[in-house]
Amino acid sequence: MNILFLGTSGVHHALIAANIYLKKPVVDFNSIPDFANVVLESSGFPIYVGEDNQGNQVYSLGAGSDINMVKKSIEGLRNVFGYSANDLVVKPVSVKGEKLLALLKLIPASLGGRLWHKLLPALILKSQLKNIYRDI
Amino acid sequence: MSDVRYPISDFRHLTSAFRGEIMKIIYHCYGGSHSSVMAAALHLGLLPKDRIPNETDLMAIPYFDKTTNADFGSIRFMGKDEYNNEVYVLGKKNMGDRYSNLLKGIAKILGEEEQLLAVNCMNRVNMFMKLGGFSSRKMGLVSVGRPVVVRGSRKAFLELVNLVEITRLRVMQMV
Repeated sequence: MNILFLGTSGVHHALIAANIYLKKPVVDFNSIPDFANVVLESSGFPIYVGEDNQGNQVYSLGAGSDINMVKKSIEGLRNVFGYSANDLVVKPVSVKGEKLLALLKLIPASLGGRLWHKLLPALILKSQLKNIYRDI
Repeated sequence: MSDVRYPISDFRHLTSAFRGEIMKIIYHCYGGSHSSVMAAALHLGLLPKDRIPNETDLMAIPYFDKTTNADFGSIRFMGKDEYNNEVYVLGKKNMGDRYSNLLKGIAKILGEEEQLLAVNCMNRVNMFMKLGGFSSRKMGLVSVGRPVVVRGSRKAFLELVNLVEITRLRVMQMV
């Protein structure tokens, strides 16, 4: 089975959720591989995070501001190919300020990218680990 | 796809290329209501390519200027082409080419990457289609927006014919 964590950003809260699910350490967000990697995020492709102890492949994906629309498309595509939730599960991850996270990643690196893409999201997400755990 | 990381052990996507299976072709645009349904209709032969359609021709296409907000994100079946490939339409708001990659990525996870072709129609959309589509679908002003979107659709017709021809060639190369 494949498990896809879906957030407004695939390199922030959805990625943290995937790492928590895989029981990887998330105390220091900046040590999470691909955290705030907005170049990877901008491609639109799902990001492979790892495999759980049951052999399920775990991914993170950024959907932009409309998570429900993207979830609908993913589930629709899954059905088009004749697969079910046993093959691909979509788990939306929601936090406060998630639309701001989706906007922050649009700021070019030349305008202080590190601050907008990494430090500010880390600050926003630090207090919301409880919400992320709730969605896993 | 080169910078995407997938498990090395995941080789399922390699096998589907050799199966000669039916392709799924998804034309997508902002609302899944005008350019994508016209492209799908051209692909399926529901619209003739040799003359510019009038309003009656356009309104006869399934979903043309008929979608609602609830349709965003829905992958809607339009029909099968002469090679049995399945043709779909989709409205993805302003997510651009990123949505093609998103769909391809999901298909890859499912091991079906070689069976999917996602085609973004937005680069064939003109200002009349945008304004008319916004008025008719978003604002609900059908009597104002529809004539404008029909004018824009007629103007974009040959561009869409070109897009569909390119897509059909790509499909032939993929199968």
